[in-house]
Amino acid sequence: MNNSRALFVIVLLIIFFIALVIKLINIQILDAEEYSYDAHRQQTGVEKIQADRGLIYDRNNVLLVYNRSDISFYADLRMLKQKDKNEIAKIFAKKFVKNTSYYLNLMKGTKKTVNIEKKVPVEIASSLKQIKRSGFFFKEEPTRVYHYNNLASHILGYVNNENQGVMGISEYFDEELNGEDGSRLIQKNALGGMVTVEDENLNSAVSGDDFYLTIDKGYQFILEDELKKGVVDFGAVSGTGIIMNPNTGEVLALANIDDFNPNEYWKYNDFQRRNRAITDTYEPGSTFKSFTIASLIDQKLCRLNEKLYLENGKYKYQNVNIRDTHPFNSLNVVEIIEQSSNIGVAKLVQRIDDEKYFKYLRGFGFGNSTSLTLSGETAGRLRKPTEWSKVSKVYLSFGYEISVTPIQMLAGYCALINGGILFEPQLVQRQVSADGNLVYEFSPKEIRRVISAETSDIMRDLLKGVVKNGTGKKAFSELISVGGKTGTSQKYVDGSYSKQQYNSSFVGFFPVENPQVICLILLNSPDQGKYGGLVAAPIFKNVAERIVQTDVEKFQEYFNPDLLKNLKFAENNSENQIQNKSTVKPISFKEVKIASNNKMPDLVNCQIKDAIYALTKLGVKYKIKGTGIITSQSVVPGKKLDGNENCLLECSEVYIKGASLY
Amino acid sequence: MKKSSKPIIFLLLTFLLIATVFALASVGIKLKYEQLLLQKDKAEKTYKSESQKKIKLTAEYQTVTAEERIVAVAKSELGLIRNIESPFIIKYNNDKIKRLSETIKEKYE
Repeated sequence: MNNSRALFVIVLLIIFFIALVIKLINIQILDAEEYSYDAHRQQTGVEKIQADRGLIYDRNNVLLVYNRSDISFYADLRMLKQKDKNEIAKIFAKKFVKNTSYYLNLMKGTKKTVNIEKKVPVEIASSLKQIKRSGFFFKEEPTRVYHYNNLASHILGYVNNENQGVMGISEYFDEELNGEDGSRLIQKNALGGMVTVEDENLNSAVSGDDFYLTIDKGYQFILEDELKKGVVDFGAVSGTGIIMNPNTGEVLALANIDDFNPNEYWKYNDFQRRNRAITDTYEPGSTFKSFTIASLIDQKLCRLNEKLYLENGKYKYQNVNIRDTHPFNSLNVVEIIEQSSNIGVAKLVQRIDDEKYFKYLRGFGFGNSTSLTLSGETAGRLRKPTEWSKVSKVYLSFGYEISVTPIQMLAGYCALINGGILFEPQLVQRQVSADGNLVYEFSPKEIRRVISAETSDIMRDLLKGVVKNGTGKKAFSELISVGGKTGTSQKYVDGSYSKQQYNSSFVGFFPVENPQVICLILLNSPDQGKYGGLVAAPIFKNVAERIVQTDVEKFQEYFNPDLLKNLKFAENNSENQIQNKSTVKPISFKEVKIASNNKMPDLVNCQIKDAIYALTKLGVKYKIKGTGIITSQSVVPGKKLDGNENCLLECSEVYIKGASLY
Repeated sequence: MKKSSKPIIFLLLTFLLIATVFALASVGIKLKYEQLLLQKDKAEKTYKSESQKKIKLTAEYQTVTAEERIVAVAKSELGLIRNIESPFIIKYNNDKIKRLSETIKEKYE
């Protein structure tokens, strides 16, 4: 009996197992393809692995642009219940300090997927990621961070919502910066959440390359700061500034004011986002005279000391009146450039053959794009001699009938002062892969020799004279020798030259003995003074002096010898001994002693940093006048403190081993 | 039921049991593998996030140690002003000057 029962159970089990096996065969073999297709469709999905965009650094490895993964939250309204909507709206309203109704409005309807919050930083998003509701999901989204906001915005460009580079380096090197996206298969559950990753189908993403630019963040900051001040002070519509190394063509800084913040690029208009330094052309005016004079000197068609009759400021040529702002009877060639005489240059240019003059101007790069690695550059306009009128050459000689971009102008000036060689403006130093391997090293690119080294030497001296004796006096610096040329040109508005709107510019360089930095400042329609010498030259001076003060080591050997009169002397081999030939006597510092009974300490002869520490600890408010060590204090030492004191600390300088305390 | 059929049934059952254990073990291992893959994925995300934080901190460090910021803080918060006089230093060796003076004295006295 027992045996037959056992046998029955065993037979049942065997039948059950056989049924299972048959079903399995059906699933796994006979209908495998169909089931496998359905399962694959429902459970797996290809997930894109977004490649990290490359980083951007300045020439000193200062990080300018990097990435951040933010989280965007979505609601699939077909799946989300009203109760869940209310709850989600409440949580989000609390987190982002918005009304609950704002989120409820977003989640109205039942048909689509809506974005509730876009690009939330990970720190804020972490708690929101814990919400588990069917139809509520989040996605990681890469965000490009421009660490210094507006700084160098026109060089860097920005990345749009489709993760595509727009403008600047971001657009020009978009492919290299972007890298290659990867993909992987993931298995999902019924709610769309990830169950697992299929490792064997992984196609890893390749990060984009990093770019090291030629720009110097410090110079860029100075240029933007001074340009901003200049635009405000002189009431200009806009301003452009470029700094380059004339010996290599490296762009050290490039700025346009107004500019934009690439982190919030959508808030700015096209004008603010456009890199006017390479896209907008202008008639350069007198800054162009340097090229005319250089061509003549190079062709030995004029001598520096030869005198020219300047018609007392009014000269009629081919029925066209040419005027000088300051009338002169006669000037030599040096004075003509120093005083920026239109008549002088117009008379001189007639000595050069049209074709030869055109060849020089082409040689300096006018009428061609500079091949700067930024998109959107325009070539400007330089007409061929066959298209010239009878007065074209004369107008060209002082910078009319030609349109140039600021970058072209500065690249041409580099050739003028660096020994005569035109360089391609360079913006990128090197391209490095994410694993640190050098992909490409960009080096200065010499295009052609335009003028001889001797002509270039003469031009440097002539331009030094412009700043010392001529129209560029406001660019003169006590610190370092400066050369440059002013330019003022009437703007061409509605078919005629405006008498109200001018382009005021200055191109300057320093030190004259061995130019290391060249800078162009261009102000668009200033309303406080129209001349480049009055408007752009002082901005250049401020930029130059701040750069020199920042980069003392680089420029020390070129400092103005007159400054040596005020030098402090220090003995080289003595660490402790103070040697000072100035009238300031060395003072030894005193330590700040804080009394235990809450009394005002004696701060005289103490260092500011120690005094600040002590006063902060005692809760005393303070103001500091001067610099150096403390010479007097308004709250007398030993006074009982009640917490309402405001102590004025007066300081004077003290020299230690020749260096002044900052 | 014949006596001789018993060992076959037991053999069959043992085989099924072993097969089941193997099947369960393989499912268990597969689940563990998937769990590890998920952990790996999570770890990779954490690594990426931490790398990004490191890069951000590098950028912030560079900002706070930049000269223009230090100068701005020194001016606006500490009330310091830049020394308008020349900051140049001429360094000289006092001993060398003394030695040279003595040599000159010896030579020309």
